[in-house]
Amino acid sequence: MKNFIIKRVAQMALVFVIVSIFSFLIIYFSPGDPLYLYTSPAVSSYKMTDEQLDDMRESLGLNGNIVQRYANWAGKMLQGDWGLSISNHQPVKGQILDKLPNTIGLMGASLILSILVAIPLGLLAGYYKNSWIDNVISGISYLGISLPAFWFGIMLIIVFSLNLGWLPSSGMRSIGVTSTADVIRHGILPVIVLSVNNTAVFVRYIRSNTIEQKEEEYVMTAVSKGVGQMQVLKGHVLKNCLLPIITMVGMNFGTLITGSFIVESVFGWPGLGTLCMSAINSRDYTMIMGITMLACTVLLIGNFLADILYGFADPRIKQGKEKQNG
Amino acid sequence: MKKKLISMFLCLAMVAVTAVGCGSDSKETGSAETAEESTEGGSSLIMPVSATVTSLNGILETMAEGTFQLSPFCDELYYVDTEETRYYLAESCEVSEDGLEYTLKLKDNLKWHDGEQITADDVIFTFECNKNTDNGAGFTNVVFVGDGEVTAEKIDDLTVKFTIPEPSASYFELLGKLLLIPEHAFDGNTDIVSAEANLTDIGSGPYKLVEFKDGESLVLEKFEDYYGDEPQIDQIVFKVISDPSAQEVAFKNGEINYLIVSSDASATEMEETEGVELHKLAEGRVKYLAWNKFCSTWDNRDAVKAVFLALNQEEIVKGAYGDVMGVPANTIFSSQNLFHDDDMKGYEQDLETAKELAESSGLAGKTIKLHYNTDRSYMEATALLIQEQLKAIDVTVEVEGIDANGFFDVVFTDQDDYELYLNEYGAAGDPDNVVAGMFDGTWGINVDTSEEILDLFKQGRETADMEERQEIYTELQQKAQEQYLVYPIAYPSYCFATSDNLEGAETYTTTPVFEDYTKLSFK
Repeated sequence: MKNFIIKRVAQMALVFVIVSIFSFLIIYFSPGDPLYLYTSPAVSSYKMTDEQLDDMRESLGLNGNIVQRYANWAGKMLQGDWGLSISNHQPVKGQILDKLPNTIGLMGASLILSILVAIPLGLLAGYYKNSWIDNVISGISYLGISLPAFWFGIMLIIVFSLNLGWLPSSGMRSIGVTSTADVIRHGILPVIVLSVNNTAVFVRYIRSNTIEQKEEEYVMTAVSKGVGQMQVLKGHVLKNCLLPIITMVGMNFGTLITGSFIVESVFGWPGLGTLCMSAINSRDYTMIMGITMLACTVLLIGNFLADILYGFADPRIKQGKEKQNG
Repeated sequence: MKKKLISMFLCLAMVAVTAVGCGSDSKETGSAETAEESTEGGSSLIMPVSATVTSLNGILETMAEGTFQLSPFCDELYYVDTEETRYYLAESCEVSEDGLEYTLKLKDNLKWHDGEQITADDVIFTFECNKNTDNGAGFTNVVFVGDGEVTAEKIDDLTVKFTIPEPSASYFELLGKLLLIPEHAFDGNTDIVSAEANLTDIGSGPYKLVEFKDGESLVLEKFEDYYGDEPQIDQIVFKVISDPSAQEVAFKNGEINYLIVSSDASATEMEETEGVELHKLAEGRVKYLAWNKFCSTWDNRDAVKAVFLALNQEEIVKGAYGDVMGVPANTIFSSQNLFHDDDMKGYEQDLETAKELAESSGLAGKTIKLHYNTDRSYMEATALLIQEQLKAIDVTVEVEGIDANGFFDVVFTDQDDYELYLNEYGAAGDPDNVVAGMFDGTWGINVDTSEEILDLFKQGRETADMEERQEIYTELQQKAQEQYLVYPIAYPSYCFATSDNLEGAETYTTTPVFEDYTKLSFK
């Protein structure tokens, strides 16, 4: 197990470096000068001289060739200095950490809701394959996969906020109100929108896995012994259906950071999505790099944890890995 | 196993709820008082924005939407519009006969929001901060004129004399827009970009900071020690709702009582909605079609004429802007510019001549490329209408949108692989400001401005007498049209809807609104 962990950590470090290089290249070669934010005619009718622009580039860390700039950024990053945002000159790390709880809260809630809803629906659909129950659940899950988040979000706002007046249409809290209940009220609609797609995907996975498991001999034995249908589902099939879900949740850890961009925009939720969108618009490369690397880290850790959890969920895998690693 | 899973879910759920709950207290600045306490029984004007300000320091704020949010928070020295000059922090600003010295006198009862007196030292400090160009372009146009540097000298506690290196008639207006920052809040350090003070209550306007939650809201309340009229609305709130459709729903829902209207259909709907009032102001911008002088297609200038005469301006404006969102432009100055010539007529369509010129110049039968800025409103629709209309002279137009950042890398350079582009510029107040820069090579270097027009811009800059300037700029606008400099298409409107109990929204027609928040009240 120890060797396995060391090997995986080394792989993660390599992936991290590769992602950082590619992200840096994409930002570097994308059109537009970050300085334009400060020097366009919309800001001032005075056009800065080349010397003044060079000084400004220097102070923002935008001078030098791509290798120098990457080395400069990576060196600081390794020391825990994520740099200053180009658009507001405040530390990137502080701004990201400020917004991180809002996004994790939103995405975490939606992930939990998706799993809680998807497990029973997937099991039922799989167990009663090709019955009306399966048809209804599958139909709804296809619909869930196809719904565009921005459209569905606006529809929910129109119905529950504009027409029924039950829930607020945007933001994370009412002005001047600091209670958690108010935050939860604001979070209901975005969480639903975010959950719909995940739930639908999870249902499809659990359904197909349930169908597979149903054909296994241990299930047939249990049924032949007269164990009730619900008992078979809960006690036998469910356990074995969890393996792909653990993988999917691990993969979804990355979307804890990046998956809510559109939904945050529609619902005015002050999370990393809105922060990243405005960073992209203003070519704020330090902020974009900060968010990208955070998402990358979370994704890598998520996959790593999924691997470990796999071992716990299925001892055969744990034993196999141990044998493989000597 | 089951227990483990249940425990895991419960832990995750707790983390999720706690995370959001804890996040709620992030980045609060200003006074400790909450918005709830300050609004008890009071009135609030809540306005949506796509993002909060990046800084509460007007020198550093670069977004137009940021300027909009800082308007109730920071006062200008004075504001020059086409009719009059309105003084805010300044008592007066006198210009010497030679036009080189500007003596600025502050009002004597001015206070920062922390209660400290606003003095000439703050003016000098603000000036020095703008001299340090590492702080961005900000108000560098107050510090640098032409190739020289302005000097600022403190005369007494309320008076500062500015001496400019060469005559510049627009300097009076530029100086008036300077947003002061308090020297004491920055400890006199002019390296202000990362200062913590930028996110604190450093304002001088009628509303002071209650709470600033980055990416969420900016809450301001009326400043009791304001030197001017007492504000009549208790709170001004800027709330982040980035999606325009969600803004509209929030407005209809009564969660906000102000909405920027950006389409003709929406304007019509607002006009017909009970309890809503639609306001329409001239935005002070010019949307135009320009031809790239570096492109060989225009070596024969008759080709340019052919394009200009082939276009039907009225049809373009009607099609792209509808009945409300813009009016046809008649000159390169906007109606909000000083010296705008109201009597001039824009280009008129003459298809027969256009066809002849297209044939004789070799333009007919060609495929040309038109760039537009995808981040600007009405540009795409305008481009498509131009594409359609130029078919009449047998010209095929390839329309290609570029986002704002990349757009200026193309059109403000000497690139020669495209023929036409759609752009816009701010055109309010003195034309020697941005308008001149768009044509004299400062910004738009691919515009073929003749020596004659350049000379007229120079004369306008160096002349102090307003009547003489009027003559110069009238001639300039006519010459620009005669020489097919650019094709001014539209003056866009700045439309917004409010609840109909809001009064004073159109007291001044400055955009972005509102120039003076003390004039606003609820019925």
